[in-house]
Amino acid sequence: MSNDTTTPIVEFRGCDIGYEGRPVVHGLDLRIAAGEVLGILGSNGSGKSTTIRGLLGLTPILAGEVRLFGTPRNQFHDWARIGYVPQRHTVAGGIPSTVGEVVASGRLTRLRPWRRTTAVDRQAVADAIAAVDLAGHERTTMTALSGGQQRRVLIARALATRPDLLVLDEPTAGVDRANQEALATALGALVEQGTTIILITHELGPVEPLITRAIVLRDGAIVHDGPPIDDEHHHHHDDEWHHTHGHEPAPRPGLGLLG
Amino acid sequence: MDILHYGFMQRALIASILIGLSAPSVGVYLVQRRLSLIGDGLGHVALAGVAVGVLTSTSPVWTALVAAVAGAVAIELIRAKGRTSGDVALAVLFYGGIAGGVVLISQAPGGTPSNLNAYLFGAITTTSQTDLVVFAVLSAVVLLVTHGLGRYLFAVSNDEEYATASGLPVLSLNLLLAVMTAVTVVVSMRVVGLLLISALMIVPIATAQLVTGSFRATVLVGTPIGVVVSVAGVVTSYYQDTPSGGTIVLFAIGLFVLAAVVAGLRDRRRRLATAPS
Repeated sequence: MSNDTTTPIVEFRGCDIGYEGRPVVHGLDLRIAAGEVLGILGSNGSGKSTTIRGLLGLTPILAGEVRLFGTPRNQFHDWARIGYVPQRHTVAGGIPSTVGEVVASGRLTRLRPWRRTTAVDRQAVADAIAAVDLAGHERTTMTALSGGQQRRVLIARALATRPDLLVLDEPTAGVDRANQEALATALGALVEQGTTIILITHELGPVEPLITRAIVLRDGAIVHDGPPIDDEHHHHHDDEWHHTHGHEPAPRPGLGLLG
Repeated sequence: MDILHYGFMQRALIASILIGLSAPSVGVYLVQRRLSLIGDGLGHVALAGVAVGVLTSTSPVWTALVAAVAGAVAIELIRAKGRTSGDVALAVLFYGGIAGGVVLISQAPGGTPSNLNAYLFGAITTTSQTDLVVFAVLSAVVLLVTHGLGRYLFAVSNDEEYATASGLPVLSLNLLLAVMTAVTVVVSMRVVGLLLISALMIVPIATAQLVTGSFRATVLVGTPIGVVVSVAGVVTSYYQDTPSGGTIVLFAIGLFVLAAVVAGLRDRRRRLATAPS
């Protein structure tokens, strides 16, 4: 497995992604290089979430091939190199769990079954919590945190393996400005360390300056791929979005297509 | 303690400690996954196994174990398919189990469905020496798996999608938890009973989480609660001549109500303390 600059971190080759006979994304060709910060934009149902769910194995690849770090997806086992932040804002199981417990569950791909955790593991968990500016909250119960803070805990969980690739699905949706800025700071530090980032977003906000490349999806295909959309265009995109979706609480792109 | 003079009481008390330890250890993950009633369904399925054992003069503990484990695997595979009909499939499996059990056992020589009472609601006089050895081994397996692999079961129960995206063997872990649930159901069949075991998996955990703030603390508080209510139930059952399973569950629910009142008062005090004057 090679990680030099010529091997893409992620590569989609002619991918159809979706469920039995209903592909949401069609013929996707996309190479993401080490160190890129890729923003995936597009309206509800354009295939943004489906694309990254295909990458992570949560939605079937119907045709084509996905390669992760140069390895075909179905032969890839080095999951600790990938951190994933799902779209949901909160973790709500039936039992109260602490910030430390949730973040530690992100460390499992670096552990061996039946073994105790080591000081290195505990340090990685503490570092991940500190990276999202929640140091001191390790023993706080998740439900005592605000939605934006819970969101940051899920990002810390994804950072607990110290991944080379971080995939975030709508990290800023429904999160207040202060939490968005805390998030942007955390991502900025990761970018400086060379982490590759894939970010789905509706509204760019404080993370915008970090993005080195943007793709726009429409009806499951890429309609723009290049530098981040300039401000004027971006505002237009925002207006368009608010026009069509402004009254929907917490839009969930991708899911709407299944019905 | 004259009750310890009787061999059957010694065995019932040991069995109650074993089930008191194992039931909450499995139950915590079921509550976390919001699958609280799965133990109930597996109890129904185990009943069909008991009936087969009675009919064929095989030890019902073994036939119940086979039926419950097979039922647990079937449930997880149906769930993994994620079809909407899964809910109906589970209902068919559960009620098929209990209906089959009742009908089969009525065919046993001299058998009437009333023979089922001890299996359904628990009895202190029924635990044999052999049962106890089997229960001890099964409980040891349950405790080893739920504590040794606790981090993995927590990750899958807490966020199954994230666990899948992390490359964890989600189906295997779900199957493992389902099989441990089935094993616990079988350990319960003498003193707690197949219709009441689910309560002993869930209620001590529900009680613990009222007063704790972490998953780990919930396990550490819930497990002793399971042991205390099981032993108290068996002892009371001896003196009051009540079915042990029902008595155990009433103790568990009593503690739950007490904890709910305490937690309610605590929350109210906190709200008053933090409310702007």
